[in-house]
Amino acid sequence: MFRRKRTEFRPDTVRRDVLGKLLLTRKQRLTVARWLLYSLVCLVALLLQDVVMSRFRIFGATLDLVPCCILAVCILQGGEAGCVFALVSSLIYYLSGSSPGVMVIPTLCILAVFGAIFRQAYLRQGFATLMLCLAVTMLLYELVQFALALFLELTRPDRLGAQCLGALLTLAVVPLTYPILMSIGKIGGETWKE
Amino acid sequence: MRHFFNNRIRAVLIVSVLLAGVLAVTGSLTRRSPAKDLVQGLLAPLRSGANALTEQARRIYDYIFRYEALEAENQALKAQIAQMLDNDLMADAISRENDRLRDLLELQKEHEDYVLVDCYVIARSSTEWTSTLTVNKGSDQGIAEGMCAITENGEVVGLVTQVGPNYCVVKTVLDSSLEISATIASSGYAGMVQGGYTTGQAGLLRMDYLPSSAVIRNRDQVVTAGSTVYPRNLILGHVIDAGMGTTGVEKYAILEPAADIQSLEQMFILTDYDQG
Repeated sequence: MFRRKRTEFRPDTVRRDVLGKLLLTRKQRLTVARWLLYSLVCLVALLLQDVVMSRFRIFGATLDLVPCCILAVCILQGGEAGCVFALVSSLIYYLSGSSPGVMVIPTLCILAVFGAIFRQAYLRQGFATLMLCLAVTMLLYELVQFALALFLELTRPDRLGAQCLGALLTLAVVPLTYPILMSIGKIGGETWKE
Repeated sequence: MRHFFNNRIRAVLIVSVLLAGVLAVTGSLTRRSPAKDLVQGLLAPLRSGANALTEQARRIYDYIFRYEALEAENQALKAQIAQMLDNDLMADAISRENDRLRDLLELQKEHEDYVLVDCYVIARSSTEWTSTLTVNKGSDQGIAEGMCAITENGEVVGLVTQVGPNYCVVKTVLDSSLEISATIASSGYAGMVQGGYTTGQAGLLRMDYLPSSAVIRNRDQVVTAGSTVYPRNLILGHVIDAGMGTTGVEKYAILEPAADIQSLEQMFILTDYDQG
């Protein structure tokens, strides 16, 4: 009596084979592309830091491009999306041999997550708030690394100024990378954007 | 703000702390890390490429902005080559004289046993309190941990502390954690040399445990005392300052490193030498 018409809604066919499980939707492909591009930016920062910037000392300070990149990406993308990226990239940063030590992993993760969440919760979206959060997190990162080095007797208290100067000099590079990070962040059309 | 802390974020933070703990423990127990070897092995060719690009950019910059200076230097070098060609005529006589000098100083005899692997710097440490150089040769070329690195002039660069298949990390003499037993060449006083960063002399070396009666002169050459790691009489640096230690029973000397670590591009790893 009540025959289903052919034009009525029917559920999509569910593919249960292996290929069906591996098939990415367009949104997923764009998400993967976005995070791969972010990783590429961090890789370029690592090469620049190791090969070029390590040759120079500006008033005794060096630049920390990689932590700055990781923190910037996480703050831009938000805590939930950026936390995993912060974990993986800080792990690779440590394994690359360029980091000050193993404590860089929890330090970057914690600072990135708190910086992102603070910005999401209390601040407006914009370049100024990004710079503010980045400045605070970079400074805290340098202070934590300095405190650990001081504890291990690897440095001296009078080197604190150079350490903080390094954070400020690194922040000077952010306006150059901001358009790149923003363009990458718009891929996929998801998460907390500018 | 609390509602932003979902389970994923909590899990990531806990994993990061646990991971750091595990890596710290395994790093202290084992000398080599396969994960570090893998990552640094993958990065080594990228660092070499970036280094080559940087050198190319520097040459282009020099060509554009230092053309006149380079042209003058070229003329001077041409004149020098002409002089060298004239001197070549006297090479035989000079060579025989050199042979006699080598016999006298036993210079050639001491260094014939050195087996050297040349390598180029592809990355430098950017951390404030460490001084390391990453080079483009590794275990595939016979390099192992604990080998010393020198320049072509026999100046000590540092010690190999980490080795991968196609890279190795050299901790330089400027690093405060590296200690080298040394002697003042002219007087024979022995002491311990390490980087001066932690004592306020960044970029310089400090020689401690010198006897209080030691007579230390300006520009005294300091050389390695000889050990299982460093051959004898490799040049560490020259004395530029000296003083009495805080205990009052020993002296210290401040040294200018012989090797120009900051602008070093090539070095030689001493893979084998006669320790007898």
